[in-house]
Amino acid sequence: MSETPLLEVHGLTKHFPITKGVFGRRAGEVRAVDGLDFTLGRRETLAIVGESGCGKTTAGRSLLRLIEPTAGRALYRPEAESGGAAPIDLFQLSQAELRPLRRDLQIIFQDPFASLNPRITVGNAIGEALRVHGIARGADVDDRVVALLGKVGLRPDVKNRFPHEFSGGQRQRVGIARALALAPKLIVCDEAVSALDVSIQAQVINLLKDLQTEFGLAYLFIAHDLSVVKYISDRVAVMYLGRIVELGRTADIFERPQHPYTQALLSAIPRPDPRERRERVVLTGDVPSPISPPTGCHFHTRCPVAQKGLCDVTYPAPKVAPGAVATGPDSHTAACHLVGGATA
Amino acid sequence: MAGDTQQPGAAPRGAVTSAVETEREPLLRLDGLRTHFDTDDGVARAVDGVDYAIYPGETLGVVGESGSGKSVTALSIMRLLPVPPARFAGGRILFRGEDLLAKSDADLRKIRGNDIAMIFQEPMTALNPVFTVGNQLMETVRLHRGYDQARARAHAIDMLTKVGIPAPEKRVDEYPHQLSGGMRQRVMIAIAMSCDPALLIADEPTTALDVTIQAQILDLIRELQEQAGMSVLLITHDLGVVAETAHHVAVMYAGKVVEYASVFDLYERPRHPYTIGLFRSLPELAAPGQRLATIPGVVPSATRFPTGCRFRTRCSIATARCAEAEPPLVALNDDQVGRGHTVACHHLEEASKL
Amino acid sequence: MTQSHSANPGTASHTLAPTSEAAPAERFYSKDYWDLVFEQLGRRKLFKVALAILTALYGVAAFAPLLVNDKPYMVESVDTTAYTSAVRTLRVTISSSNRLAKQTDEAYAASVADKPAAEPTRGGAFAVELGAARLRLATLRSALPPDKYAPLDEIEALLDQGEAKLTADGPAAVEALTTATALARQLGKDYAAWDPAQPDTAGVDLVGQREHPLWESLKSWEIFFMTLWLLTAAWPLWNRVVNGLVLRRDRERIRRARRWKLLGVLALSLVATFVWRAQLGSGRSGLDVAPHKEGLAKGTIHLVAEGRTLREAQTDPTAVGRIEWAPVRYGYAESTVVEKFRPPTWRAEGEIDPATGRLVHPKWALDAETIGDRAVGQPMVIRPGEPEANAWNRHIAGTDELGRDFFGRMIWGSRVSLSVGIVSALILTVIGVIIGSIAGFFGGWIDTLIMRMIEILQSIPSFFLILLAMAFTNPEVLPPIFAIVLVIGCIGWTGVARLVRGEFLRLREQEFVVAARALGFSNARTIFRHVLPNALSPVLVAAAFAVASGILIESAISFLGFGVQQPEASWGSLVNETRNTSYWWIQVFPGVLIFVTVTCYNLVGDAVRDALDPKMKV
Repeated sequence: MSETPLLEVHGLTKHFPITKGVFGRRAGEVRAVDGLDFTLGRRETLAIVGESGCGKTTAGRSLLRLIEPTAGRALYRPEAESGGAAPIDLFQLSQAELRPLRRDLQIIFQDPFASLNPRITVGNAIGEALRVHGIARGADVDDRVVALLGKVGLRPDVKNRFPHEFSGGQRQRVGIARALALAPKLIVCDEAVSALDVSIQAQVINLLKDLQTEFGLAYLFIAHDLSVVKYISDRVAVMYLGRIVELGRTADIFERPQHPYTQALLSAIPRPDPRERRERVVLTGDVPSPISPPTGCHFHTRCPVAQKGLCDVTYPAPKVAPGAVATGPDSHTAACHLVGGATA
Repeated sequence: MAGDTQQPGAAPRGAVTSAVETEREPLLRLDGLRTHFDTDDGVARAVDGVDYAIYPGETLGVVGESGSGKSVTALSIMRLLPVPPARFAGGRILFRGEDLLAKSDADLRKIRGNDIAMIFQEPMTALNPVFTVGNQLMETVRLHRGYDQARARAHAIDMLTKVGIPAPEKRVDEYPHQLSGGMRQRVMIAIAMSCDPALLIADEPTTALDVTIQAQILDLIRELQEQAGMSVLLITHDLGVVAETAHHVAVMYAGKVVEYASVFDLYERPRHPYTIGLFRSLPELAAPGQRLATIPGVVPSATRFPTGCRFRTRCSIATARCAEAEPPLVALNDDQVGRGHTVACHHLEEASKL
Repeated sequence: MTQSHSANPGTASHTLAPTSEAAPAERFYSKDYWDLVFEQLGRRKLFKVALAILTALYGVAAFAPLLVNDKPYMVESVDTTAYTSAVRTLRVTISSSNRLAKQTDEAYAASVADKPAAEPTRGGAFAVELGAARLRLATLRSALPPDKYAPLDEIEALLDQGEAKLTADGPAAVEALTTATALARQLGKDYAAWDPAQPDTAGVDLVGQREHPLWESLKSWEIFFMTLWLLTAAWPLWNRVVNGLVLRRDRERIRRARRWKLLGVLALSLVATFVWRAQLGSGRSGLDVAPHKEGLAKGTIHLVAEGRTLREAQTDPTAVGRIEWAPVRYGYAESTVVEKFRPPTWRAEGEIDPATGRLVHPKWALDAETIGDRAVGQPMVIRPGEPEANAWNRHIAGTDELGRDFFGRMIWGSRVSLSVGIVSALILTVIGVIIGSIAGFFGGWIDTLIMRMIEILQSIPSFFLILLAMAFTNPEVLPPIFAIVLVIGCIGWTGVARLVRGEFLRLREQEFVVAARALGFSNARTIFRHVLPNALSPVLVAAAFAVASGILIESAISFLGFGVQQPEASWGSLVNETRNTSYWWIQVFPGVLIFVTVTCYNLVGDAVRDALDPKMKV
């Protein structure tokens, strides 16, 4: 691997303060994201999966500084050559310094009804991004908007329409076109297909794949739907209560899940096959509150194999899965005391 | 607490489909039901001639995308739609042979919550935040069964135990906001089950829940159904949920049922081009790296359905005939189990080659 | 990464038709937010009715001077009294200016030292006297036939000469003015007017002149609002023409033209205002109404057609001048002592005996002696232009305690009542939007501070706060009506501010606002283009209700006597004219008007709220 990764994230942390009373006394904090480490290669899709409240959306938005992260480093390398310029730490930049970099880092949202300004035609919504960044001027803006709409499979004449005239899938396409307008290198897909119907979801997934091939995009694909993740991503990070519990190549995660939580998550997906008889790991109870996460391994309160005196005492360091490499894009690690193998 | 895991997955579903069972009368039969809405843009034909039947003790899964009319059908059965703008434009809803549309509001209230119960998608808003869980549980039995306070409370605790809520004596006095989403959905189910309904309508009961919680709730519904022998009408967009839960499936598209079959027939031999397309677009069934098959276009708006077959605008094998005549639901005789496999398509021959 | 976006547009596999059905033949038009809102509003009958009523009410208010006025629109007349007085006093004014011309500045200053009302300088005093002389010359000119202008021209020229030479060449000025004085004395003898009362005496035959006192009394701001109203009320008419002929029914162009139409209406109103000011002056009518009416009544002002002579008018009916009155011929402060608290004249109880000034109806038989509200025993005087004593339309809404026509007062009062609501709503909306935006956008301690301030302000009963403020404002410095508007505006903004702040907080979390930040847009762009326009819709609704509440508050304050002061009127103050319920019309008519207006505004607000279509909401 002579190519450097696009993004290296170390210890990404976001704690939301909880304030009380008239004067906003700090009464505690929600540890939404608590020290994430991952790398994202060029033209790669890394999925972050987890249940609601696990911090995956916060992680994605913190990475783009749409929410200010509490701590951590995000080393971004615009150039692919390893001898190139020093990486830029996105978290050290001021908002003004960050603005030009926004061209490289874009986001697509979940709710197709909220992601577009209802007062602005879709053509203007896309054109605005081009104009603000000085990518195009005058009549050129129009040409580019039409080309972008074509790229996402919309007819050119829709540019004069308002968002309310589109269906959910079409709005999602407009959102994608807007993100594409700035020719980004990375797109954070924040539950981008979760709100869509099955047949529309398939259209959008295909579109995202096509665009990735055509423009060499990297995706940070945040989702809760494991079947979509299995199909689209190269690597998967499973999050539970603000931390990554398992990280590895998609095939490894789905075929050889190491962490009990990943195993439970996978077995809970309903399969569209009525004849399939599976042994299912049904988890009891609910996700604990991120305000006061359990001591030790966050998952031990629901874990079917938790060991007293071990799991409820210390948080496990990531361990390399049996038979997997320790580092690099092919590694497979799980943060569980009971996984065999060395600490990563 | 360590998990008491490794429960059996889907329960065997052979029993209800035996030959003897097929002789039984359906519990609920929709006969050409039409529910229209008067909107500013014209008449929205949200439900436009829906036929399906639910037999005692079995689960009917109704699958469809948003806008297919599956939820409106359910609300029509409960007659919970505001009239106007909603309007029953035709058809019958036969529950135990009696037409619910012909019943007075007072008669209907005796059936609602007692014989037919419903649970909704959003467990956060389906419970009244100002009353305790117990209060809301007791309300139904006091109303329909005339239980006194003490008996109703005992019943409420009993129901909470049944739906697997730990420490029910304590939970019964708590308010909805003190419960998690999964717990609230359990409480909703407990309320629905309070009067031992013959039919439980579950409208996207797990859509708002996480997968691990969804698995719990689906298992719970299945267990309760087996214990009580009730019928379940399960409305969902998730083909996986249907596969694991339903005995029969009705696929809805643009206000109509396009295919109705036993779950095995439907999943193994889908016949309608829409159903086929739906399965092909599932990422679960696609090999990684292979493009997903898609259904082009979008669901037409309920005010502007195409003439003839409503799927023809998105169908790859549509012909001029599809635009002229609406295909009726035709029974096939190739069903392995259950009570037939009906499909509404003019070109079954071509569809089978898709 | 070098990527070209101008590649072939779209692969067929996922090109989808944006409409569910086959595209219509003509170019598809996308409705924007306002298209949808107007479409919704257009479907609401009650809204249209309410809007029509409000438009009518505002029309009446804007055109009040043309509807209710004691000045005639047009009068063709000869005023012999004015002529005679002018011809007699012309010499006096010229000779006193002459006297001033002879004086030194110091002497003049000494002579007026103990007269504070006098002009402080000699030049000023001279100008005043000369002005008086010229005014008299103008009066003479207007009543004389053109062949008699020669001596007037001569005097005029001498006056100019005297004025020009006053400072430079004193003696020359004195000489000119002395000549002018002599000419004026001669004029007084030669130009005595012929008086039809004494037809045998000789004298100059005066000529009728045409005047437009009512038009001349209009002020330019009144013209502005009249034009504005006309253009607005006729919007549906001209809009159709403009859309058809100018914009060629192209809906895209029509949408783009929307704001230009609004600006055009405002601009045209301003143009009309300035044209009026330049051409006709503003409010410069010299007509003194009371003497004018008295002259007409006594016959010292003769109606003579323009260009015809007084003598002709005695014999030839075509030479008699015309007089055109406003529909209601009373000034808003014009009182008739005999007609105090007279009931509406179209009712039987309103009948009056013109000879004694007593109401005839048994209900009112004893009123004068027992109640003492009505002066009786005097014969009624019907002034020129007024309907007969018992005509049904004499006082259709009765009269008040001074015998002023109540209908006229309500019409004039509508100006205050209707504008108070709008202006106060405007003020409170602007303040509310600014403060709410600041709180909502910056958040943090600024938000906390503003919200606490609002809570404190809202915890004070606002009506008493307004009363308190009214009690401490000096009506000399700030007219009560402005005080009311300002106080309502400065106190009532809290609701709007909370609303806007809430919208900001809601929209800030909306994905399209997050997207705007992700796209690297500046804060200003994010606020003004993406947040504010979406936050203002509910403000529109709040503003409609604020107008209604402003009208009610003004009515209440004026009813309590803190509001507009006599002879100004507002509907609230009119209700306060008496608390005696026998005089029912005093309470009923303005009360109904307040009720109707407030109801209409509430209906409009409701309709606008419903029209902000939920599917457009974010």
